[in-house]
Amino acid sequence: MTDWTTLLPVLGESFQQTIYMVVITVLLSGIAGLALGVTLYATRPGNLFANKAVFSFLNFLVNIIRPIPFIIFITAIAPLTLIIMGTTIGTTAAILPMALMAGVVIGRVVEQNLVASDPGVVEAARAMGDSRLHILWSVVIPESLAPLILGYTFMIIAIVDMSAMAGYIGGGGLGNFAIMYGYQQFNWEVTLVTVLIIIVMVQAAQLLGNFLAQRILHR
Amino acid sequence: MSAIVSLRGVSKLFPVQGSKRSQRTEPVRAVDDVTLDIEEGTVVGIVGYSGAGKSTLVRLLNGLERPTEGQVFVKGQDISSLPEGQLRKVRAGIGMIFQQFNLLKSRTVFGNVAYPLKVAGWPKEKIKPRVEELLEFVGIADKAGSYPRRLSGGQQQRVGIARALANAPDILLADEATSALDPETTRDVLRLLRRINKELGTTVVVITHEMHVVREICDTVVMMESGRVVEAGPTYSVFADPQSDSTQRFVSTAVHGTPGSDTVSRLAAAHPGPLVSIGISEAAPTPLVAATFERHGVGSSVVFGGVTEIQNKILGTLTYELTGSDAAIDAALADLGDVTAVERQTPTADPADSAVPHLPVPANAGE
Repeated sequence: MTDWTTLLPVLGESFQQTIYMVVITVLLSGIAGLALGVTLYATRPGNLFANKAVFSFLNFLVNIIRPIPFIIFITAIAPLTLIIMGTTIGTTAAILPMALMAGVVIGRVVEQNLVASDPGVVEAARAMGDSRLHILWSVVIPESLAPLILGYTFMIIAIVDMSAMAGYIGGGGLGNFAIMYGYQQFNWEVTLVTVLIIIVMVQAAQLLGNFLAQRILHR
Repeated sequence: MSAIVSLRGVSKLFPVQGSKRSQRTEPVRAVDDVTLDIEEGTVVGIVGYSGAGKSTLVRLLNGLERPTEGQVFVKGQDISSLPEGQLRKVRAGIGMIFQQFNLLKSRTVFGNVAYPLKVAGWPKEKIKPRVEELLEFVGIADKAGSYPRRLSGGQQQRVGIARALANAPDILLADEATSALDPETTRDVLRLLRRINKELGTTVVVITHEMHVVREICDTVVMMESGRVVEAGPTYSVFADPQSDSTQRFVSTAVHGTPGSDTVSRLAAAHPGPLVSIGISEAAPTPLVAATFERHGVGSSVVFGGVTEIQNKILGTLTYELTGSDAAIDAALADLGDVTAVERQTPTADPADSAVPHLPVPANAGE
């Protein structure tokens, strides 16, 4: 029999830790990833700020970081985490590897959505005498807003996934909770409840993302 | 009149892209040594098949492309080596419209037309009346709040035109602006371009592969082939007397009237008298042709043909069946031959034969 009266407060705390990790990571990696993605797009050969050196370097960076399994990535950059965060254990320490990996992946997602956008509107804006930086901000990004929102929704869900892994190496949160009280104590019921909570979180994020993207697409 | 845009020995080379196995190492000459003057206040057609370099040429005019060689002068200023910041000011004074309209889908019609005004730093309170005025001018004032995807192609191009006119440009570049539109909408848009030229005095440069667009609105026409200008001149003279092969082919798509060999065969079967095609033009209008036949006592009736007007001048070809003595006909045609093109039409093959082509049988079909 599961003792929910003692477990519930722990579950509540784990839930808060997950929300904290996810929200901070989404904010940090969202901004960094947007900057990285826009830079990749803009420096691509033939685009507004075509620059082979910058593009190749960033492209290479993304390509070597992205394939690293996240659980290995966390341990691989632990020395860096120690320097920046002062510790490698705990919820806050988990945010650094999460934000780095998510930022790189978001950068790629953003780049791919922008590359797929219509180059004709960029040319039209240039023909009007608009500056290249202003075009990136007020033409390129708004024109791709709907796919960008869907891309970010996808990434929020991937970050929830990451937070569960971070939990395993001391980050806390729902992942940690499910392993500690579910898996390690052979309590399938606790695992199931945690999974259900994560499913509800993911569904809520997906529904919100779909709703926003639909509103933008249908105008 | 003076030239508002001048090109002097302009070439644009693009590096060869694609596979490394490609044998071509020479860069592609999209525009090849073009020297050209565009007169202020005119409508100029730049015509050619796709790949002739017309889209590159038009992008050289507003600095979207920089020439590899030569100079581009806009209103007397050499823009070929201007830094980006100053080039932006030049571009702001040149409107451009596109085949695919290139409207901002994330903004309303109002937002699209307001965009170049914001870029040019107009104060907010002046933008609204200006946008309303522009939408009124192009005839879509009621669509200000709509998003582009809700509009028809013709309406979208009107938004594109309003947006291009926002900063009251002296020059309007139209890159295949009607190629994505149906014939009726094309006519409306061409009429609007004409009105812009007449009422606002804007110089309009029309890029097109459709000769009827040129016939409809252009004062002068520039024919391009493989990056070079092969022919240029007033629209009427180019249409009436095309010099190059490709111009002739282009003109024949807009001015019909010369019968093909199948048609000649059919006509000959129906009309026993001699058939003659006469070029109709300013120099040889229909009354003159009729009077010439009458003077020589030759009877004539039109059996085939097409006549149109370009820049208010008549142009076309009519095929007549003639009746009268051979000597009289010869004399009449000799007179006409002095002023216009005269071609006797004789059937070359039985139409029944040419209608069903024989399938070639391979000689070694058994192998």
